Amino acid sequence: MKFYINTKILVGFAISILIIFSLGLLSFTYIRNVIEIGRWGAHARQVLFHTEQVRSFLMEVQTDQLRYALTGDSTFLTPYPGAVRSVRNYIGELDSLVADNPKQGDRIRQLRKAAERRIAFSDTIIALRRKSFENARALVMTFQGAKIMAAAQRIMDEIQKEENGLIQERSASIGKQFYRFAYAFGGLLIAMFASLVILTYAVNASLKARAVAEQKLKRASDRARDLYENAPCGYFSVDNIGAFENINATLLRWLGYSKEEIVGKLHFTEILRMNGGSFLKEGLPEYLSKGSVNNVEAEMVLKNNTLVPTILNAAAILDSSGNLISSRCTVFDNSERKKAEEEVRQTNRELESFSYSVSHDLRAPLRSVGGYAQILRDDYYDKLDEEGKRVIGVIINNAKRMGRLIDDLLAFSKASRKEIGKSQINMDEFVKLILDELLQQEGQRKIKIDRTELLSGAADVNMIRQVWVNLLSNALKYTQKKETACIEIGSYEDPKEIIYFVKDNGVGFNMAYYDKLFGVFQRLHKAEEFEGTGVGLAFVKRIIEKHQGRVWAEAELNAGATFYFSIPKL
Amino acid sequence: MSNSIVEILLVEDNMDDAGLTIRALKKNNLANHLLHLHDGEEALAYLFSEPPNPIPKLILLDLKMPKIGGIEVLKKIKSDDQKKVIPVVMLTSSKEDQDIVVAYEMGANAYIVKPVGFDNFLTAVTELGMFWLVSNQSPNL
Repeated sequence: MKFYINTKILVGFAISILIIFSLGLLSFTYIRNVIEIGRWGAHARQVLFHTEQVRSFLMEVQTDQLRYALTGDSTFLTPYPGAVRSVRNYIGELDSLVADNPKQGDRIRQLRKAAERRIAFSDTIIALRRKSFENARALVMTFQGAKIMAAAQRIMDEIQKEENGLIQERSASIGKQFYRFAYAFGGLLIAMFASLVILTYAVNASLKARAVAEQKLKRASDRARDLYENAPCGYFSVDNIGAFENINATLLRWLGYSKEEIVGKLHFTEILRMNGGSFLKEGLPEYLSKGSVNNVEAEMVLKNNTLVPTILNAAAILDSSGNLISSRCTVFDNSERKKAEEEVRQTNRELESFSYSVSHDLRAPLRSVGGYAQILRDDYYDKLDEEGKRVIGVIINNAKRMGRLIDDLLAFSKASRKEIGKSQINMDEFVKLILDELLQQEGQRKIKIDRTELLSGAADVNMIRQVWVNLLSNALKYTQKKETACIEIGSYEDPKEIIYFVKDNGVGFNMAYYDKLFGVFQRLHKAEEFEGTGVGLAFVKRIIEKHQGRVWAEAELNAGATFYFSIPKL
Repeated sequence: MSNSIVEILLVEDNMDDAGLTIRALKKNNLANHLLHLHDGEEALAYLFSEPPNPIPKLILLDLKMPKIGGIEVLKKIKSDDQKKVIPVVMLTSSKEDQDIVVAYEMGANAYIVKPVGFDNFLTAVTELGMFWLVSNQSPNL
């Protein structure tokens, strides 16, 4: 049996019952004593009454005998036999009444002897009187009869005294017992009353606490229900074969169904379509072994047959032997993201067609400008004066420069759009080849290369080549004006990535302009000082970012620069 | 048609680019029998006319032209049993991969990106003319 009441209350009940039972037992004992003693009191009074009867009938015997002796009138003897019988009867009853008291028993026996002697004396007197008055008178005058009577009276006094003593004793005792009973019974009543009050209070408090707890529980469960029903995503659960068990209000609102139309009636694949339905065949084993699927793209079929892109997550509930019991699932509306993705794709397409146009339409007029200026210089050079010759040179150079800018820009935008394909590269050999190639184009300069063996790393070969070419070209370019160019190439690693660096002793730059360093078309030097389009470092940054790496630099004006880039370890 | 012999058929809508190309070929004495047409429509009209015009030894075809583009002209040439043996070199400003792939799929014999610098342009056109007209052995038509 399970108790739903508080343990304290239960213990209180037990203690109350124990106290009430004890007090009840005590009360019962005391009242039983009182009754017992009362019964003994009645008994004593009976003894007293019987003794008194013996006394009066014995007196009757004496009186009848005396009257007859004096008068000789036998009428006086009429009650005599009855009185004698009564004396004997009452003594007999007394004998049985005091059977439990040996002392009184002795006295009754003495009383019986004395009474018999008195009766015998009276019988003798009566018999003598019948013959002669004188003889009878002489015997009466012996006062023998009075003596026997006095002895009997004494015995009876003793008997009565004894019984009175007992009565007194018992009435004292009965008072004591009655008080005890009164205390015990009073205590019982008080204990019962107190128990009832305390227990009523405790039960009430307990019920109140339970009611408060229930209310709290209800509020919490209401909140949980509200969250389940109205959360800004769809929740549902399906059984082991995929039939709907439950579904929240948000999802129902999206779908346009009522709960009754779904739960127990539809299979989840009727509402959510994944990868053309192949999930159940191919994804199910993985789902069961992993216990969940995350971020699966699914199309939600609304009641009006509209399709809405969603993201689906599911967690399996398995029994102890690994069998699927049910699945808890969430559904997120993915249409906004899909729309955004489509917009991005659209933008990319536009960008692509834009750069396509740029590469065609911008280069064509430029080609004419450069080409015809060159024709002018080649075929009409003699006809130009000095200023004309200078101007034609400016036109040709700028046309070439513009061409390079367009090429770099296109390469940059192409690199941004291209997906990278990583492979493990022996960076040490790779960089050595690039460096050799670049050094061949350098003239008679003193160049000191300090290259420690580079750590290998995983990257897109063509893209990472562009990074090295740009960084090494920069190092060579910006050390042109040094007597001896010193270029240091090295690498180091931390737990997550490999870091490569190129350090030169060239012109460096002011760190105040660091923000502009990696921007497109940003240059920190004049074109006359150093050639360049301002795309190189932006290109490097874009490529490294595509590799999830970082690019940074440290420099001091006229004291060289160090460029770092990192690529994550596989 | 001042000359009944046509060695090079240049199809180019941009007069300035055509001028540069012709000039570069002239420098190497390769432009003596050159016919310049201005768009794809003219090119197709010339190539598929009745009675037939002289067949060129080489076609230099610009990719981007109004009305009928270079790719379409190329397709027509390469799908004609008689004309498909004529070497066609695509000339274009574009370095876009997609154009190159499409041109080769259609059966272009070469693909030249017109460089911006005249020096490079001259070199490219000269090499091109020399290869197809002098070095390469074309089938007799």
